[in-house]
Amino acid sequence: MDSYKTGLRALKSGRKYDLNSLELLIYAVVTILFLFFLMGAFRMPPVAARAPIVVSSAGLLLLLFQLCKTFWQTAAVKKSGHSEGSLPEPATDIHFKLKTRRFFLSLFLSTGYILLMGTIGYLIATALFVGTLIGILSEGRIKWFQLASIAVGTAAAMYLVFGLTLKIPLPRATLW
Amino acid sequence: MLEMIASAVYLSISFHNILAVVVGTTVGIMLGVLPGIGGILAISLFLGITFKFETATALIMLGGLWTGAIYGGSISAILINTPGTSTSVATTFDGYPLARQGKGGVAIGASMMSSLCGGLVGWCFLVVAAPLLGSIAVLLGPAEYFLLALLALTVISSVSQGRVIQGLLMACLGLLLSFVGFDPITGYTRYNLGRIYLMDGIDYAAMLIGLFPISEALILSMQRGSIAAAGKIEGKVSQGFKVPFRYPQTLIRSSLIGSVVGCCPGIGGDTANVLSYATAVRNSKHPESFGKGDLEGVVAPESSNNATVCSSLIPTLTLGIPGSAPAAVLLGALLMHGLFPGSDLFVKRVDITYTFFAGLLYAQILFFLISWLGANFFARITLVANEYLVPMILMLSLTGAFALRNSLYDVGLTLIFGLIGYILKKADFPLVPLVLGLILGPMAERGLNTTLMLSGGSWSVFLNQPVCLLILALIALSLGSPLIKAILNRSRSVSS
Repeated sequence: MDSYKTGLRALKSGRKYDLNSLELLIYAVVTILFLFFLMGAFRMPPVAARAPIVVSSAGLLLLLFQLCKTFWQTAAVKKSGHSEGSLPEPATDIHFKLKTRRFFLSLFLSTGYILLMGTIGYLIATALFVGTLIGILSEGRIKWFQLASIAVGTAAAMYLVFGLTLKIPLPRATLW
Repeated sequence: MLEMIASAVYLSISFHNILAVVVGTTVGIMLGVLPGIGGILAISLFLGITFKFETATALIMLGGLWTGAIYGGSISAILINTPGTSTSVATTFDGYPLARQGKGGVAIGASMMSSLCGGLVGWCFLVVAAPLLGSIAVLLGPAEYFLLALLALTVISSVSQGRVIQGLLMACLGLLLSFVGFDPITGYTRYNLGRIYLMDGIDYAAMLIGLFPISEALILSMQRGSIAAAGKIEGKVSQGFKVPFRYPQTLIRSSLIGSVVGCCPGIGGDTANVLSYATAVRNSKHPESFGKGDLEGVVAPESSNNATVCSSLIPTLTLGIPGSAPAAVLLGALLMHGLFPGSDLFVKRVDITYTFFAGLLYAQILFFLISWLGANFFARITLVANEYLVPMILMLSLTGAFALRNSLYDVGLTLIFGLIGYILKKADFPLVPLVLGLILGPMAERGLNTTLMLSGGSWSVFLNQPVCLLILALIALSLGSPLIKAILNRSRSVSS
């Protein structure tokens, strides 16, 4: 009933009460995963297949229940006579674009950090990653020599604390 | 038994363990001060790093991190009206008005002493109740363990704030991910997509590190500047130390509320601090003064939230049912070190268990001392800009992921889970059931298959044992409670 009231409130504010695109994407991916696990289980010995079949089936039933619940709520709201609003348009202002850019840059640099760890070594990769990411996120507010000192200092601190003191093996590669 | 406890306490005062608790508590306070970070992130950030430590040292450090983080959240709650952790929400009600009146130091001192008292009460609960419950856990068989795993998953899903179905879906997904790799009974390799790396399964530490710290760092990367504009303490902190003793009834009652609520699986400090604040208001002679800077309004939530740290470990260590979300992460740490809840901890490895308990006691005392000495320093941490915070969190997380198995594949997997965690957070899907499914999957599957092998394939064994029936009733209650609550709320609103 809370969801029903939420749907009414959402409609009153002009939003269409149904699954938004992100939720739909997640439900679609989860459905594919459940089906993958279920189909894979049929090719296994019975003992190994038992738990995956039970859990995948339970998951698919839950998904079906959730989708039926959402459709019932949408139908109930439509029946109550409220006109459908539309989802707000994604923000096109500069702040939204900047936020998205920062997110993707952080993700891209993290991926690069992992690849570099294995090629040029942990210390150099850490210094490059920290320096570059701070530089990008600070949007030029920090001077390059400050960035370099922070980057080198961080890599040295990580080596001292984790490599030497705690003796945690750090990735080694060509340059270090 | 007493000799073992004495030797465990003696072991706990080794140099490594003391260093671990000091570092863990200090770092925990620093991380707890930063809003959005909290106990789960603090523990999962260091999970990989502590993997190489001795088991007791690792657990002590993680316990120190959690204790420190719970307290650290109070500093930002009082100074900048933004709770550092969800367990400090009620502290803002009176803490921030006190800070605005120039009594921030007194409020912080009061919160420190209240947290210490509450933490000690919770610790006593743990030390007394856990061995008792642990001796009962020895009597549980595979059927009971299978159902306990299901109970843990349903409880955690049902407290997912109105997203019960989503919580259960995430729990199912976590269980399925736990089936990747070798089947524990037949040794058959499942779902590894032909990759040798996946033959050992998905490492839950890598998933934890990705889902919590990395996803949070990605969210923070989208925000500019720092979380706070002002992080300064006015007034002397030591003036607040006597404050909790002016309200002995509130102090004792809130500590007990925290200890009892912490024992209830899935609830944790979030509920305890609000519940104890509401109880304090109801029982106060001057309820109108609450919300305007009443020190009693700081004593109540602070004593209860620290009490939950130790008491939430009671169901976690004895039955494998996490008492709170950070306890779920700590459960993962236990399993990572080859320890299993129940008889393993209270019969075979009692030395490690009591060393851990001793470490928790030191953490409760140390956070008080460290916060007293470094109160102004910790307050300034709220001024750290996101451009420094994000790279540090990402770097520590990815380093920790590598430290697990010295594998860059783990690091890559952690980043993938970081992205998944970000997407799930944006869509408001709960993450803890996903993690718990992965952690409890092997225990649940082993219990199920062993039970069915012993019963000759008959499922009726789950309905023949009284303990199984009790657990099934609890599962039904936990699944039905959100619906019952909704119906009760509706009937109350109709009658009003």
